[in-house]
Amino acid sequence: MSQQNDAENSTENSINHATELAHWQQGFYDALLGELSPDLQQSFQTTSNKASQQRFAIYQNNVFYSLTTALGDLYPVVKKLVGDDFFTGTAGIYFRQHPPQQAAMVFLGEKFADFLCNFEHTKTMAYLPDVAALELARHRAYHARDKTALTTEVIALIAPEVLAQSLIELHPSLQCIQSPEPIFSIWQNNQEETNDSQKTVNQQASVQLGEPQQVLIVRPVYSINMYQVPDDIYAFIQYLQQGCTLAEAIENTLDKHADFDVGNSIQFALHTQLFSDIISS
Amino acid sequence: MNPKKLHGVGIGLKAQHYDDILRTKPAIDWLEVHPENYMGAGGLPHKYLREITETYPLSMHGVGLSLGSANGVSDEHLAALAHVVKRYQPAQVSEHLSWSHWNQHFLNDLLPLPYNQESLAVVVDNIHKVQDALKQKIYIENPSSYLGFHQSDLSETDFLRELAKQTDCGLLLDINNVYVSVNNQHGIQNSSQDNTQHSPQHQLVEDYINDYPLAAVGEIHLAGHAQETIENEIVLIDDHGSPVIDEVWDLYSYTMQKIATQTDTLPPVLIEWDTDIPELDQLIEEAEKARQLQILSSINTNPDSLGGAQ
Repeated sequence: MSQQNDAENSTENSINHATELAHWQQGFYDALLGELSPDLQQSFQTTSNKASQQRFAIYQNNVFYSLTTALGDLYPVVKKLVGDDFFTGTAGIYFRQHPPQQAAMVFLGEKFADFLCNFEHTKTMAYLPDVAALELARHRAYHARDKTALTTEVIALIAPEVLAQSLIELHPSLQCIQSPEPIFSIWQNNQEETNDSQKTVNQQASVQLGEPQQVLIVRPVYSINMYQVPDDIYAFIQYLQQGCTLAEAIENTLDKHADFDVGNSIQFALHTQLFSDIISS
Repeated sequence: MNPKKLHGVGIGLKAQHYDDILRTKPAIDWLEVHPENYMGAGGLPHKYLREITETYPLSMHGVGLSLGSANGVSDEHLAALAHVVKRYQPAQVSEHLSWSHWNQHFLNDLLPLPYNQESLAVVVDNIHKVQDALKQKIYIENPSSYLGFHQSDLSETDFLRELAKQTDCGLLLDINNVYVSVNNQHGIQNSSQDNTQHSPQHQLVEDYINDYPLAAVGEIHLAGHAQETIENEIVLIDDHGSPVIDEVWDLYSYTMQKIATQTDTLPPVLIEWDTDIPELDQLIEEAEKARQLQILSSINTNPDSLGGAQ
């Protein structure tokens, strides 16, 4: 009677009381990521040990197949670079170390680049973690909050001295990635060729390993744009991102890159729709 | 709040079909999505869903709530679900009788649950929590299963009946899952001499429907499945990757006729297809077949009234 009341009156209580189920689910979870224990197997209604193992394996396969497929959709270039079988094996190790922390696949695989940094079997591919970071950045840009980018016309209405002292809000989809490796070129060279002419262009792009590249990724409306940019523009955008006013960002960039072309760089940022608002101080 | 009530036959909305649906505006009654696919902040998925829901009523069919978890529903995931439900105001929200969430981790599958008083109390609490957060009734789907458990002492149909009674939730009856689970369960119980020639258990699947609380059904699902041979037993795999098989269509007709004897309004029906996704046309053909059988069930049962199928 009192147990009945507990269950009806308190969510916390009855869930805390579900100790047998909790123990069994812990065992089932551990077995999915590891191996089927005799204890868990005893709870299965099957005709033989082998049938138990094989039926349990259906769930295990479903878990890893769906996670690996989702990870491959997020990191198609990494998958192409290492090959399908190697990718599947890598994904299995990754998910055992980093089980997904959210149910929505939008948030899957966020630690994959970090994982690859320490993954012994891809050590010879020094560029791989940063290629993964680039793909994650594209994915984040794809799902970012929508916002209309600032146009040149709007900027033109603001007095230059006001603009100089303003903070520039960067577009919510903007992602900045830099690498000691040519990740932009590697990414480009591994796109599916849609026709012969594009194939020729792609084949012409040469990759010099060890060449640092800076990349800006932005989705002003619905398609993702990627730009490989020089050090000074990358630094300028970084200063804006860190909360410098336009004048401070220009000054800081000029300190490090004496030949920074302010006019052209601002024009580039407006043309590529990197800015979404101006916050006057 | 939401005038777009579900009726007739819908299909699962796949990203591959966004453009085709917007261009051709096919005669489908409604569309279903997994809310988890729309938990990003913005971008194309939302643009398409906004445009498509201007024409079609929407149902949200969750896969991530993990209503069977003994350590409860994730607050973070529930908040994300509430947000996407508020954004699109679907006509209906549904989830599975399963679990996937354990100690802050999500295994992205619909894992099976033993059926007993303890698990019942857990699922009841979790459904209450979700219905309170969403401020609406949710519909609970019977799972496809590959394993049964010794600690189960309630039948799946009794378990679902109790859920509906204790939480006022609706039920989502997946006919293909009934077929898959009952046959898989029967294969387990079959004696070893006779199981090389597997024959589907017509009587047992009908028994499931006879024992199922049909009055609580607010949605029907249909899908295809695959089969594998394990230790000389045929195991049916619920992969949603092929057309609905004849035996499942028969069970659907049987179920719809039973429902039609009890009510004038037949529940909305969904065709699911999630792997090896075909051209939109093939999904629409399957939906058309479901509609014909829905109308036929209504006529056969109640020749004077076509009300339910219109």
